[in-house]
Amino acid sequence: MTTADPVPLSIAEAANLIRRKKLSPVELTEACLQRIGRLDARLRTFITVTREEALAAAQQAASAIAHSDYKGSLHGIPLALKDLFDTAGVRTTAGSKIMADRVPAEDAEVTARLKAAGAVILGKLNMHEFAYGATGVNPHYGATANPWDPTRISGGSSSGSGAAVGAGMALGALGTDTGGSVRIPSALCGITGLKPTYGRVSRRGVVPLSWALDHVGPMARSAADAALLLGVIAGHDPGDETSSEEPVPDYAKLLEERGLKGLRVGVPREYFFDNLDAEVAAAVRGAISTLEELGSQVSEVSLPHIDEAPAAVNAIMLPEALAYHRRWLAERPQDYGDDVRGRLEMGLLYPAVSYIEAQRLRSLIVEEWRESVFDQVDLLAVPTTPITAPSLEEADLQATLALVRFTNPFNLLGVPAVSVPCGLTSGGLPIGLQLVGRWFEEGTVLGAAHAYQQATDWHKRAPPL
Amino acid sequence: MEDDPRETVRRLAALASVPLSEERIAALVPALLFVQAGLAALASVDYREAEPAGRFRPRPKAPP
Repeated sequence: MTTADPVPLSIAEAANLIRRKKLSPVELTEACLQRIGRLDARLRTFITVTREEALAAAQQAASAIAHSDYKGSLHGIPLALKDLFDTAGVRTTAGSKIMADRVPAEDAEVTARLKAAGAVILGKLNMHEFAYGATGVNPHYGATANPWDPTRISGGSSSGSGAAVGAGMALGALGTDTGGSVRIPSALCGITGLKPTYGRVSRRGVVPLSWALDHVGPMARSAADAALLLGVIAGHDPGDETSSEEPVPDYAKLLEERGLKGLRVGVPREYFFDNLDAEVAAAVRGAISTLEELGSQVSEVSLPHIDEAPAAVNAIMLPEALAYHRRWLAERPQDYGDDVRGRLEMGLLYPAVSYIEAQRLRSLIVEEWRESVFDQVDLLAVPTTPITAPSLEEADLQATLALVRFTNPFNLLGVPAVSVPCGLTSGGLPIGLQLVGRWFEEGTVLGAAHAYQQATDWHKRAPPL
Repeated sequence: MEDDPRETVRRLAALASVPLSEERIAALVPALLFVQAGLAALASVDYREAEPAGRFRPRPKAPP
């Protein structure tokens, strides 16, 4: 081992050391487990730590690499999964009491792909119950605390994913994003999180929230690390009807090829800079200036139907969530937390016509943005959230509505969107910049994020733990 | 919507076969306003010929 504390390493740095046999996967995994042991009780990050399985996988990776059987950049890298992804033989609770004892027989497709790439799975991460909320306050497994200030939330629903990567317990994680659940905790915990294009990553074996809006995405310290994770989990899965057959490019290579030079970056005239925290606005405006200094052409752009997008998200998400949960809601309502139960019951209030109208709006908005937004610009740059991490006491419905306001329109559109750290408030809380691209152009989105991170060091800041 | 919002909620829950106590029905009544605002926003859109969304496909690339 060449470094006293391998935990602060990025996936790319650790992979380089592991490939050259300068760092053992076992040592790296032990360091992560040690950090989990030190911090997890305070941050309530994991629901299940798979210590023995992780050490066995690390040992297996070390042995394979010693025999020159190196599988690639994730071989021997300790990662963790939101407890929404099925793991064969390891309970998958979806953060709920209802599934508290559920042990899947098979891995989710993405779990299988990570294991096949040689990744070490450290365990299953805490989350908002059934992914149905943006705060990560969970009545069954505790409220995940923010590593930057444990009196505050980490954001959700992939709360444990954000906190674990932010606190250096895992080098990367997977989350899901139905209204912002990868990007919100990424912004609030000072890490990089990507919601890929709808259909880019398989959702087979992932407990659903809303079939039309669910996305699986990587969460890591940098865009470069997110690209490595995406390269492994992206690609067609015949077992997922929404999975795209679009070929998967070499994202790590695209990262180096696609910077910001000449890229047309659009800043919305409306919606995304209304009613937001002044420090968030200043940091994001500053980041956009940096994008311009790095060679992009920044211009203002109008976004058709943006004001109606959240209503369409709700008219799709609430009835779909109710449809999945209806039987349990009728038979075991007391087993849901108050907020999730209330949200599921709210799904009863949506008539069928609003669901169809929302799906029609989805078609309309996709076509109009193709023609009038993404013809003018290659990327949009907006804040990820209008506020920074609220305190645990402030984590109510109002906070939830605020947190999802800038993220959920892109679930309706299905376009790729990444959140990257772009500043800290005077109180030391992370702020996220969201970069949004055309369908299936994750390479452009991550390339721009990578170029920004090459010129700034916000993604390298660590919380005072 | 009917004049009595509690009755509206009660009937919608019954249609979906989800039993709700009077307390839960009362708690849902304020949410009706939020939902109605969303429905009004959706009703205001000119959908033209748009059909409900299918899968997203990448836009064909323009020839170089």
